[in-house]
Amino acid sequence: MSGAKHYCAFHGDPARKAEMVGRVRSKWTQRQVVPMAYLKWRTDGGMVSLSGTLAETQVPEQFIERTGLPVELGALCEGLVHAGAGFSEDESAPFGLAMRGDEAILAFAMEWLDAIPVGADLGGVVPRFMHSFLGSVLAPDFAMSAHVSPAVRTCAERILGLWERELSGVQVVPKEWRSLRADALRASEDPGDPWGYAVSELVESLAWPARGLAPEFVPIFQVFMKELSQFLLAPYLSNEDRDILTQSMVGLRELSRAHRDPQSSQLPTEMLLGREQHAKHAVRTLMQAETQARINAAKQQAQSESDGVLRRQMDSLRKLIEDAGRPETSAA
Amino acid sequence: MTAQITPVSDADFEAEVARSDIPVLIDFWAPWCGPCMTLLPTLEALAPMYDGSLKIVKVNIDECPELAEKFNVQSIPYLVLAKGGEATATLHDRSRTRLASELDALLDQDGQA
Repeated sequence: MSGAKHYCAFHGDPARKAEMVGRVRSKWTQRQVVPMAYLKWRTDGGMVSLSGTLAETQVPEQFIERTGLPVELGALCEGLVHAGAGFSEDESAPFGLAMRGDEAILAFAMEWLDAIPVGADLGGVVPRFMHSFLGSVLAPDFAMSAHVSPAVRTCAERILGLWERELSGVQVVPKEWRSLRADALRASEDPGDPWGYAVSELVESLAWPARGLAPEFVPIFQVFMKELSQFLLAPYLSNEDRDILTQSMVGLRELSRAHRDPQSSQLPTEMLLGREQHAKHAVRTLMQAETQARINAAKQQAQSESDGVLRRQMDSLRKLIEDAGRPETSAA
Repeated sequence: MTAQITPVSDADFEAEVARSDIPVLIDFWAPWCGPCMTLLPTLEALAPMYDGSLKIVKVNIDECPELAEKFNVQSIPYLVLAKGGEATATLHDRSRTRLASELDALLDQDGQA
């Protein structure tokens, strides 16, 4: 456990938890707080996050001092809710923003707070969730399983192995991570199956020690969930739209590569995309309002599947939070 | 770790960036920008990795519109590698793996790392 920071949820004081969580519940019920993937607090009536409201601060050190919780746990829990919520402008709603989403998804906004065992050390929860999440992506029943290349799968399994050693207190030398990252980047270069890009990018992003990466996990997770959501809606598209979506993924990947090239990184996007005419056409078509409307319609049809994936991740996270209060697992 | 990302304004840009002996990664951001806030932990993780070979600073575009204009900032977060106060590259990736890979290549190219 060397290098692990220790926490004590609500400093072991049930009254402190009741007061802080009660404050969030009251605002959440009135939709006066918004789930965000980062701490946000202000007193001028502007938008605030759940975690910001919990500790009445947006300074990470103050959040830890007041709540006894890791900042990244709040960011992850809120990030999960945010990933399943939709937002639209509405002048009658608080902050001019209407939030919609499945009740089971939105309910997690309070569920994670209610689940926190007072006095527990939750410092290991996010790293453990990262392990569980990557494990679920590698499972044979995962939706994208058939699109994960053997090289990417091998790298992902190596990450899981190194994280297990790290979380059980065994030292992992930086050289092992460097070698794994190089392999993950090589595996990502495979231009093969466009539906495999999301997992390969996820795996290369995760090739770092779990505890150090935990504060950066939310945006990685959110990008992946967005890609997964596209994958899940694809069966509801026409063959032509599915082809546009696939080709645009190829085009956007080529664009990312061109941006990394010092010789071309400053060139306009249009010029860079122009090198791949087929992909350029697909990206342009994808951006058109009518294509977006059809994709949004397919997204609605696939919503329950996306929500199901997200809800399972929420259940897994809630269990890790609850388990942290049990003596046999709290030390890990 | 936050202290390793130096906030820079119009007033100290010359001293912190233009006259820096080592390349500077400038993060153009704003407090209302969600993606900027979620990128910050990644930059904080990168800072100690390049200690002595790269300085990382952040510029609040609301407070420093002239700097944002000088570097042609169209959207944020916007990451620019600068040498002698001038942009030498724009970084588009956002994951630590890709940013480190890109920085390694750019710094090697300049003979700095």
